[in-house]
Amino acid sequence: MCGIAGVLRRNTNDFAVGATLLAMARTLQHRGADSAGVAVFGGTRSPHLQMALPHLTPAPSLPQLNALSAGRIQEVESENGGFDAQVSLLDQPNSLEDLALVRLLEDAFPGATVSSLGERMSVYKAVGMVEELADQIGSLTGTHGIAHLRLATESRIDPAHAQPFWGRPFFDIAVTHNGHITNYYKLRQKFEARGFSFASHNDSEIIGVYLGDLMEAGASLFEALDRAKFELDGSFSFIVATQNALGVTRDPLATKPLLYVENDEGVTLGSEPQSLYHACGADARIREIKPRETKTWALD
Amino acid sequence: MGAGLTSFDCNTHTTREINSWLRQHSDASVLGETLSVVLLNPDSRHNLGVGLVKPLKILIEGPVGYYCAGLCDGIEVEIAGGAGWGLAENLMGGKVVLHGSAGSAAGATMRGGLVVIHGDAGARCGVAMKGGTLLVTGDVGVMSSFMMQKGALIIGGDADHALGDSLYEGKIYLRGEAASLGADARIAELNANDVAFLSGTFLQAGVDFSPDDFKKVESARRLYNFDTKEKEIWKQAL
Repeated sequence: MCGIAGVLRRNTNDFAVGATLLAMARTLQHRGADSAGVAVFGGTRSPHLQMALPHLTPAPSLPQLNALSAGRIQEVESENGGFDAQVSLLDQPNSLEDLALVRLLEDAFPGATVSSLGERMSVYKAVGMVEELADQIGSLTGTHGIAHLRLATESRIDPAHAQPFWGRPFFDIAVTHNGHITNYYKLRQKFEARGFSFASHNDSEIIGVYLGDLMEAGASLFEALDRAKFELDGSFSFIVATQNALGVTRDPLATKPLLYVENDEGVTLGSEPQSLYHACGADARIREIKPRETKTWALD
Repeated sequence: MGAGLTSFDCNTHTTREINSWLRQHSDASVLGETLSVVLLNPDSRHNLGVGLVKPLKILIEGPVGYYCAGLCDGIEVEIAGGAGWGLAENLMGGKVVLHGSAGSAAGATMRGGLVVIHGDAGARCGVAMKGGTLLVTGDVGVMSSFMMQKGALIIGGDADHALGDSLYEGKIYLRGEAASLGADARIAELNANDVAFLSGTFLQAGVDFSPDDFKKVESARRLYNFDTKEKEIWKQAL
């Protein structure tokens, strides 16, 4: 059992994504208190990378990062548990070169993990209750975002194993997942053989990587999800957030809940109804994502 | 809905306190007439009104979470809102009325009583039912009445895939269409007993349906005994 939530609003660039996800997550707290996290997609573009450092590790200096990244890192701002660095875009988008930068940084700072890379996405994670994140995420605005409350059933409890998982190394993709992927190790081996690396030992991390890989090869979000629901094995309900959309799918038996409220302005998704009533009002018409159903909602 | 009745505000109490309060009133009911109580602000809370085995009328003024009115006997519950998973799970007797849609496994393993859902029900409603009647005015999700053994599921709308999969006994009455029937389930004509049962249930539940619009889904009983000549049936079923 875990709690997941997502919001997307089409009519504004500065929707209170952080406050809405925080309010929803509070109502879902009983579904998991081991760790919490959100991925928020801001209204403006600014290519950046977030890195979580081991406890009490001082943030590296800008010259140090600038040298390491061959000039790609230009500005650094420390944030709770790590830093957020502005990075320059490559002339030609190339996920393997982005991955090389990520691994270079992780090798340089043992125990550190890069938690996001993208133009609009920022990821915040904490061990424990979602309240731990309240100060960090409460005022974040943007167009869409996802949240996760973890009840750990396998793999360790630390920020690197908290969700949402970034679909490393692809730009602006994150997944919040309730369930378990039983064939993840086979998929993971295939990706590792191609040079991909993972930040955790958690099964859920494969989902975003799998989807990101398909989309980089030309699949639409819907096509990628539609394939994922047959190739992923296990019990799963998950929400994937990309630069301009949210998407969901569920396994055929659908034993992990996922409900939503949809209108012209966008969509609100949550594991349990109270999260949706709190976000959308007591009159909200709540529906369930059906078993093996795939749905996507894009920004205009 | 419950003006003037004894009420309890869920907002300011733990689930254990709410259920203890309900238990006290249900215990008191036995001595005289059945008491009526109201729960306010349920806010989709899980496990409300569980394990009550003495008469009590409960009005719940809002949506409830998982396992509402589970493991109960002889109660009357009316809910002004939707419900999460496992509504009236293992109900032994009494009546549960939901004015909204229910999540997965509504009426799972119920043994008696009547559950009326004025809305849709999710996957596996009436799973392993062993008695009683579950009436859903709207649609039902996949694998509804999976492994049902006794009782009746009445569906006012459509059913998703695998309706009545591997059911042993019991009846399913369907007004709309099923995306597919489950293993060993087959369509059958209504007989006079079915019509009388449906008419009585509609009256009791206060819904405006006509038995003429329904068809019956029942067990073909081909999975009762294993026969090596029928391996194909089993391959399909499993």
